[in-house]
Amino acid sequence: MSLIISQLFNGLQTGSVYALVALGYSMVYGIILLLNFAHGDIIMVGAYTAFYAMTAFHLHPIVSALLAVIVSTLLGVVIEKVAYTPLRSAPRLSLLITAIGISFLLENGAQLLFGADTKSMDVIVPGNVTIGSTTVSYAAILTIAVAVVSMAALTFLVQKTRLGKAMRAVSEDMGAAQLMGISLNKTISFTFAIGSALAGIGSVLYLCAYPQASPTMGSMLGLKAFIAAVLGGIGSIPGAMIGGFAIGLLEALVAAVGLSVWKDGVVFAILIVVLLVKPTGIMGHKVTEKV
Amino acid sequence: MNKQHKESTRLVPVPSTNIIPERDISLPPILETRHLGIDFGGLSAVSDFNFAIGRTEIAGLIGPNGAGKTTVFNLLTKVYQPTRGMIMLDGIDTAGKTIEQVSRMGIARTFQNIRLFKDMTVLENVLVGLHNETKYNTATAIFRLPQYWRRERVARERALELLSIFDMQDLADHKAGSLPYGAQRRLEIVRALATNPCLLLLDEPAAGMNPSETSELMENIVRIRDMFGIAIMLIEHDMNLVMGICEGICVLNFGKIIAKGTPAEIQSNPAVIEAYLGKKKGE
Repeated sequence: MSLIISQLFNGLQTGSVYALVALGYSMVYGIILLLNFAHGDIIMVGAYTAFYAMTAFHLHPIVSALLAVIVSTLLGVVIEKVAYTPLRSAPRLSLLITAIGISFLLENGAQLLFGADTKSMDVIVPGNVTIGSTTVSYAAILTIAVAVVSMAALTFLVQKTRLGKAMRAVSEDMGAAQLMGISLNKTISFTFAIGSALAGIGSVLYLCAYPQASPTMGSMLGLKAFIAAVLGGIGSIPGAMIGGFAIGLLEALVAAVGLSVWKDGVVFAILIVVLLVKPTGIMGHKVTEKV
Repeated sequence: MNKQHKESTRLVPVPSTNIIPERDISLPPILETRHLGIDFGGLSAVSDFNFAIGRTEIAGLIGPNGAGKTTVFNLLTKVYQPTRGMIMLDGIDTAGKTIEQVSRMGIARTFQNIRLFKDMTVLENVLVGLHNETKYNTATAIFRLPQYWRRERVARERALELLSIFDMQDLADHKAGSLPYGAQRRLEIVRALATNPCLLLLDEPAAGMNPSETSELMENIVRIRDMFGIAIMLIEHDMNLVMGICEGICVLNFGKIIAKGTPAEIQSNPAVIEAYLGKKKGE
């Protein structure tokens, strides 16, 4: 029983990170129909920022986390402005190829700057709490709490503020939204900023779970989060949250039955099954082509 | 009220021999186009479109299917960039402006095929229209400072007030997509009004409506003009509506203006009759 509960917490911990990253994929897809494959690498940049802030500059973890979020947000917005805005009227495939290009650029740039080896650091949030016979790490509790608070804030932002309403309007009908006087550039930049900020938070939470950074850490994490977004229904915000937690729990479950090596395989199998059986995911609606 | 507007309409000597209601004569027109045109590939969809609308005029744009009426709306709202000519909104040239910018300058529109934000509520649709009226910075919203609540409350009240024009305030929390057809059309007009326009473009507002709904719509269009003191330009196939409320009418065929005038003049214009009914044999 205690094993199940601690695995549950493990699953929720990784699931939190997946969900935060999946939100970025889903929001960007919802608004400009782009699978932003550079999103995973934003996490990597965020993680390096937090890593060096704590190891080289000995900053407080909270300050380092804020720094990582700021750097991720700026990076996301700059990528959008430099790489995606000029291609707004180009075919979607060009945009997708550009996203993959940016991903390579960031990964190889990081290798050049920080070296190809994996950098390790001390555990950020040490300690466990034991309730009865169950042991749960503080890091897991903190991660889940931060993720839940971030998601609540995001939901409020999207549902209740004028920029959130503008985002939803643009994602439903870009042309009509523009005719309401909504600035497309501002709204899209805002979406990238929010998505990247969540990725920044995700990167710090990831460091709490695995205190190491490497140039390619973003690709596997990004892919898993992408699968979470597809599972939840790409373009759907609650879908991304559900998908993230589902993938995290699934991984923990696979590990719990002693099949750790199969973890990644099972997640990718999920992607194949979802695409075959219900391509719109759990929360996604059927997209009717506009005529 | 309606009747009085109609009687005060006459031909006035503004640049392109337009019909402008007498009450608007002393003021510059709200919209004026000069030699406006657009080509799609080699095809000239609209050409030499010269038109002016008075500040509180209701103007009609009619013509057979495919005449280029919606294209004119798309040119005015900058969905298409014109190939030739100029558009002056309230005396300001809109060349080089984006869709968002002309919207902020005061052009609002509805669509032939309703384009509401169907997954959002009725109230939220109007709030999106109020987007530029409801300014506060995002940090204010994130920390939920008093200013945020105040601005949101003001916007909400304004949205409900606008909805009450059509008696729709009780539908505020319904999904826009779940409304009956007629209500969706009305909501689109409310949403357009929320952007605080000086010129409202209505693209086939009576499409799919029965005669009683249409006559209600006619009253509402006149009421909106009187309430907001704005100009309204509409595309419509329902001749009762056009002849009933428009003060100036412009007839388009194959992208060119073939007639301009008051409803009475248009009804007896041989070029218009020919465009709609075809030529008599042997003519």
